[in-house]
Amino acid sequence: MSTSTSDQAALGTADHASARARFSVRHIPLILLAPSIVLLFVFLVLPLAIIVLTSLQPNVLLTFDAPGIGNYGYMLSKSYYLAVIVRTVRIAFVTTLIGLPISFLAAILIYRLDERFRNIALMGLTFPVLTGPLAIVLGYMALLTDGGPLFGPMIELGLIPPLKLLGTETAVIISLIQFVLPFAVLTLYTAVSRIPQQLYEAVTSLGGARMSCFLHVTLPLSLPGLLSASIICFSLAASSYVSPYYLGGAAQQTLTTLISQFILATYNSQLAAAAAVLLLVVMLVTIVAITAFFRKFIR
Amino acid sequence: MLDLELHHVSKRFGDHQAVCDLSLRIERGEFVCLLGPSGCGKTTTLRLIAGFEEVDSGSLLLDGEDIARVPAYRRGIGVVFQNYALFPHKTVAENVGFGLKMRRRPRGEIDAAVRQALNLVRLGQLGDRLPKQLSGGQQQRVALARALAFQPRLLLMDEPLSNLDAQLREEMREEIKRVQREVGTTTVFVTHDQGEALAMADRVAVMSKGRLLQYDSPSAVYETPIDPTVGRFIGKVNTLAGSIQSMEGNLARLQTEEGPVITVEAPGGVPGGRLTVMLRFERMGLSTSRPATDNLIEARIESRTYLGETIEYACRADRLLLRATVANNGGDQSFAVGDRVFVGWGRSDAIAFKG
Amino acid sequence: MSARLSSLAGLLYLATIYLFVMAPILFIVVMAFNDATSFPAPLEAFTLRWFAAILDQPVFLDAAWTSVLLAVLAAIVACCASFLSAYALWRWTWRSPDAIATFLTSPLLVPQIVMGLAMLQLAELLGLGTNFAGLVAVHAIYVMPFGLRLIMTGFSHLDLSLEEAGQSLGAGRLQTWREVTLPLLRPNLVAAFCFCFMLSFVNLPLSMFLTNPSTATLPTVMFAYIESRIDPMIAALATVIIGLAAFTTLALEKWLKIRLVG
Repeated sequence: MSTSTSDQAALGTADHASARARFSVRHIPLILLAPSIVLLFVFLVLPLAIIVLTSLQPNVLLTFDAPGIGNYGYMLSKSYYLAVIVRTVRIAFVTTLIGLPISFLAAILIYRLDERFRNIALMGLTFPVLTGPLAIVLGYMALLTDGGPLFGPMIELGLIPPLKLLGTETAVIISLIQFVLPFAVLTLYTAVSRIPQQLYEAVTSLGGARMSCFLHVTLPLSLPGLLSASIICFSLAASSYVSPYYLGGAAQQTLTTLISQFILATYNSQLAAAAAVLLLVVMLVTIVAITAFFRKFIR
Repeated sequence: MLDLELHHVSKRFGDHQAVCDLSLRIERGEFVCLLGPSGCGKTTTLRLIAGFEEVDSGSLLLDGEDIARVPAYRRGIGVVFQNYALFPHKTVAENVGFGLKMRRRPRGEIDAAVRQALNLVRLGQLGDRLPKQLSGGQQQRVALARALAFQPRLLLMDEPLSNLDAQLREEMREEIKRVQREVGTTTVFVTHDQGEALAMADRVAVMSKGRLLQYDSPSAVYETPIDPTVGRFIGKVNTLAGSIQSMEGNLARLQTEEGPVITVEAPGGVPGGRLTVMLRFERMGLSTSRPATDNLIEARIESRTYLGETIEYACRADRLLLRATVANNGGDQSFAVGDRVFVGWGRSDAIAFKG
Repeated sequence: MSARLSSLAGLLYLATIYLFVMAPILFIVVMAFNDATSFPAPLEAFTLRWFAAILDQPVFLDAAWTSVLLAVLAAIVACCASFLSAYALWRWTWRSPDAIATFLTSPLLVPQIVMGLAMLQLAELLGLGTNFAGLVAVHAIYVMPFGLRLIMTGFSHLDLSLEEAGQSLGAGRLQTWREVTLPLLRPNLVAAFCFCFMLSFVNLPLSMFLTNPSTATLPTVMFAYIESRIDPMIAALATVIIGLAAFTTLALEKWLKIRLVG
């Protein structure tokens, strides 16, 4: 055994050394996370703060002491802009209301598929996301017109009256449902796939049939997933640009098309910023409301 | 092949003290087992030696050199993981040769060392396979070969046998001992299986709640445990407690709480002192006649458990329940539930602890 | 058998869903090969002339090149940052990994047009105007959550002891990455890159405010074109993009064997 003095020396240097080593190792994860966090901070958080500041500035249409909420007062006092806000929320809401159950059923059915086909099914659903909304909306512009190949023959045969879907909210909602489906299905599939098979077997052994399995196992345990999916559906629908622009047209403006109009047509950065903040606020409030609604059911 | 010293090593995670003031020395070429229940700190100790965790205080000396600040990849310590951790995308040969590749040894040297290591674990012809094509036992051997191929200063094994079935586990026990004896590397082996520890180790370090309880040869740990925790952990014991009525030299007459008076070796005991006594199941002798043993208790068989190699009896005498394990030698000597038996044992068959 | 019938009904339902999702895509593709001058138009002959017409439009080709460059850069930045973050979240169990992961995926909830506007205002504040670097930055932030998700999925299948095994055998951190972590993660990294590339390539709102005629991306050029007319040529362009997306999806599924879930 070494003598006590060399023991002390060894202990001394070891403590000091380990203290130094502790510094570097503990900070490595922070260094690794830094690039992402810095990127987000500089190019997202900071610019958003700038937007908020800009929205408080006077512009060509209004003069008030900066910083002030004159822009917001202006927008919220005009019935046109209020209608735009309401429309944005309504479209997003309806998209979520219809898209969520459709996606939930699809997710459950895909999970029931044979294992070999599950991933292909999911990938196939993801493919439209990669094509981008522009290509898809172009397709809808053709598909949904009365002169198009879908409705054209049907109208000529007298099966349906001319629908004039282009330029209506309905067309926008249809395309938005198509847009959010992959995201919702993927989220819900993740939730459904995490439910242990044994819970269904327990229900069956206790005498429950298919509907009981759904009501007592699938639905309650999917609630967190349903919450995420509804937030995603709403957010994607509320923030979409291409669909409302092309399929809604000038008559059916949403907050996103309004923002682009303020910038590209009237060059009004301040009102554009105000509209952007209003959109973010609307989305935040809705997300909080949806979360509160679901929390009542999630145990 | 070096010796390893831990001096007052401590490690905490949050507010959980995983390892507390641990001091230990492992001699060159020794095979030491760290034994204890889950959460006792044995795996944390291993990870501290390997360098996967940093010690909070204390020192780690490998052949006199303090390695506490040396990063894991420079310690030159071979590790066999519980789930083998073989690189799935590399062949067996690439896995085994990895340590030498990191040390930039020439191709020829690596190939020779790989061949030697695989022959050592008797897997010579499987070099080109991928890990997923091997059985559990084979993967285990590859993990061992990989850890030894670069001739490490020390070998660490983290419960490597717990994922194998009973039969394979015993085979691998022999294999690992054989390999270790052949190569002579100082080895630290972590396990919660006391049978494994007793069978394989030169010395066993029994740990509990982050502390080292006893560090001794297997027989010493088994026959003379240092405190009741160790005694209870290794082997099966009956526990009795009571106060000393009188002393005769080293022999104490103990009035047990359960009723009977027994004699037990208790050097340094004084009348009135409290003792806890442990009686190993296999040291209890059962017979229908009165044998001339130091301690004899008349009892009735309350239950009988057939364990194949042995038969375990629970014998009740009033408030006292004694369990005994008897070798199964054909059945003509076995007892039935309800039989009256005499349970006997000698004064040195019991272990007495103060308190 | 009601079980059989219900599974048939289930398959029918899924088929309908897929038809609904694919309908606009199928339609555009069909229109692109249609030998007609207007859009939409009843089917006439099969032709490739609209694809050839794209090649005659230098504005499209230049824009496509810009988009490719932008997408590659954005994907590289996003994937590198995501890899480092995913590694940190996987290797070191934190008190609140979820909080950090949520923060890193927050761009998903910000409308793209707002992100584009935000970048524009930052650029104006710095006196930069429409610049390519800002465009790359905002695209990178937009695609980063997708890349992060894919890479994190890859890490979740990686055994932590593999890294420790590499270390015990003498590999330092960078060496462990090169020999163990990256090779095992390669499918997910490639998938993340392809995903980020495509998402950036086809994006319109992010680029709307940050491009000028010389730095126009393909979607912005298409956007301008559609303002005046819609013809089969734009359908052909859309089909090219669709083909690219289809190829990427197939590659991810068949070659890289990416599992989106689990």
